[in-house]
Amino acid sequence: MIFPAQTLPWLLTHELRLTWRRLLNKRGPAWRAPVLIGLFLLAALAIGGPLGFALRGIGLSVTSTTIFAGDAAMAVFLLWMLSQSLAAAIEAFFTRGDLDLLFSSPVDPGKVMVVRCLAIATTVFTGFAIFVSPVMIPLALMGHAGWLALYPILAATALTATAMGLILASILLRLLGPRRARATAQIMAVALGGIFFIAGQLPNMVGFSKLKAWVIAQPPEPRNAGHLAMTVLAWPIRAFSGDVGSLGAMLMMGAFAFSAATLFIGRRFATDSAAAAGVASTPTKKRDAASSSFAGGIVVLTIRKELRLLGRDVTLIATVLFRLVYLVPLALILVRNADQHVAKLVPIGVGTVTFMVGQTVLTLAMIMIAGEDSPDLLGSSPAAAQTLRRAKMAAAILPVAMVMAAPLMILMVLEPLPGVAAVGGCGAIAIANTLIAARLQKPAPRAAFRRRGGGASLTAAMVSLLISGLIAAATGMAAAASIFALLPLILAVGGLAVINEIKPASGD
Amino acid sequence: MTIRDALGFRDALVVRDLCKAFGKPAVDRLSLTVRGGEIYALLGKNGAGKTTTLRMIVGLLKPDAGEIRVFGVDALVDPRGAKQIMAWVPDEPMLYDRLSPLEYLEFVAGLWGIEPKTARDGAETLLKWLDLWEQRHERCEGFSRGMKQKTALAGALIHDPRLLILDEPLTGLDAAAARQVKDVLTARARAGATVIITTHILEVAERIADRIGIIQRGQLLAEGDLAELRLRAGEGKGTLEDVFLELTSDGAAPAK
Repeated sequence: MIFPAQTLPWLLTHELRLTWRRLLNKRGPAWRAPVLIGLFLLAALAIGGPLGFALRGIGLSVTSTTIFAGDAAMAVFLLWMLSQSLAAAIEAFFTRGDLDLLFSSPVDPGKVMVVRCLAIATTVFTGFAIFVSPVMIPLALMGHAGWLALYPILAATALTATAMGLILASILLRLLGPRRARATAQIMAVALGGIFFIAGQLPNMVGFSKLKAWVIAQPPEPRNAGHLAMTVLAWPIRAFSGDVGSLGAMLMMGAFAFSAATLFIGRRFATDSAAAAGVASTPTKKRDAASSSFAGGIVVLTIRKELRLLGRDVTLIATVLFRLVYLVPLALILVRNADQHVAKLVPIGVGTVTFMVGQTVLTLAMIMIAGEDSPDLLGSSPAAAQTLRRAKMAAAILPVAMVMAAPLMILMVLEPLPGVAAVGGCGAIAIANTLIAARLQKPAPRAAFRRRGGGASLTAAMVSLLISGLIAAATGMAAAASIFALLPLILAVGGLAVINEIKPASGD
Repeated sequence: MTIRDALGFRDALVVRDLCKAFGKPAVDRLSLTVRGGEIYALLGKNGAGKTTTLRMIVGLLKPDAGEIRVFGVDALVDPRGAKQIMAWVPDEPMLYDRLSPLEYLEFVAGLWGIEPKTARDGAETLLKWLDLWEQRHERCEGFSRGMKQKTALAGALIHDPRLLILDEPLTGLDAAAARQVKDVLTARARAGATVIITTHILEVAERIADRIGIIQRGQLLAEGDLAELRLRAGEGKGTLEDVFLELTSDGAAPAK
């Protein structure tokens, strides 16, 4: 390496080399890379292109509206990034990897920590940079090159979010202890990720009229756009529209926050990390509330085992919660629309909720069916593989069924036809997605599913999107009493018949 | 009918011409017989085909050719029937980190369809026997290697198998845990069960095994008790290690 050993750049180069090699080793099907590039280009053509064309020649002026919009966008980015950095920061304390080697060497633990934190910030930034690129690159090519300032803005935000995530993770560790801190951080990360979706749905849930009345009821605030433009609040929009001073200030603020955070937790990093590592090696004294009964057949015992394993794995709970954060508000909106007899919206709501039920069940089914930690135990037992698979499918459906039972029953009472369609659609989509998980998801250790989206097979996910889309469309149409519901239904059934013929990929 | 058959002895495991290839042969026309009630040690160098053989016997791998009979049950025709009377303990314990030993045994007993009362009593006996009773409500995630291995062993014994197959059961165990596992195996054999183990700790095989099979390149090189193996290796008073090294040196011919 070109840098002197034990220095910060030397460690950073080592970390980047490892990251690069991990990426290179992450093999997938041969078609994955072309498909992802194709999707990127498609998004650029479908969204970025038309947007760039529409905004040609339009400048961005700093007004109270654009300042507010810029701040709102920044808040969204910051919260989303914080949700990721918090989860990554807490894992940085728990994941040993090469920490034992590094901490047992004479390298300053503070440097190790800074490098780990930089890796978190880089990961958070890269994800968002890729996310906005299909829009930003066409915009830049069509006359708004200055708007590429969004990238350094994102970098500054990533540094700030990483700083916040690190401090929050460290405080949680000290206040709650390693085990509870990890659980709390993971659930907080999900809540932060979903908060803007829920906020965005507030008008739908509360009702536009009520929200409008509430906003109007607030006393008018004297606004002085000129004064506002000179404040910190205007930095995001000013930076975006090319003001180097604001951009520099944001970058400096991000760098300062990051440095302060690393200084704040730097000295404690090795201690906190060692404390977190101790959790896994110390036997727990906690007693289980439910005593083992040894009763029930293999189906009941398998369902019980799966629900126990899920309920005790906070990371997996967070993964499932991440889905439910989107599903539950949608279900509430659906019930509200049915209650107010908004006839046109109910079928759309039924279709959307059905789709989300399918995706939630898919997540659970992938974890429970493919994420089996003891495939050899099941394989060497005389229990029929099909029975075990069906029990696991039932276990995957059960939690979602419990969450959805009440809204669907209310819907059936308020709007019988859409209610029946929704119950049928949700049942069908749940079964379809467990089948997809059983047939197409490759086995992986359960730990692989602990990362959000981790372990999931791209093929299973894509097929699920297609089949779920068809079933959701059929359900929505059925809710609207349309005979055309049969068309997507037949296509979905045909697709599932083909999938059913595939030999299960899971090793159970 | 042989004298052994007439006296009611029955072979626990009969393997005939077993073959499995992963590109190149891993198990090559392997034949061996394990008698009921004995402890049989299957030895071989790394990559000799021991684990592949055992995984085919317990139904986790499908052989390319050959025959496997477990107490007369054709394991390839009636795998569930064969599995019902077998138990398998791999080198890495098959546990669920977030289940307690008691919950693990509850699930395993369900897999083998054991009556709840029998399973509950059996679990208590086994956990007490293996010194895990105090930890019965603790999750396995914090267990040491030895505790995990003992929990897995309890899971293998909960359905009282007639044939117990263990792959490297003593790897990574401290002296006390290793002793406990060995005691369990000999006690099961004394109680009439048949035990097959693979191990690289040849002293263990020498001390507890009734008969020893040595495989190399997927073929049975030699089989018998220590005296028979010594004779075959020309090692008059050598240890099992001497015999093993002599027999597995290049140029040794497979057993007939």
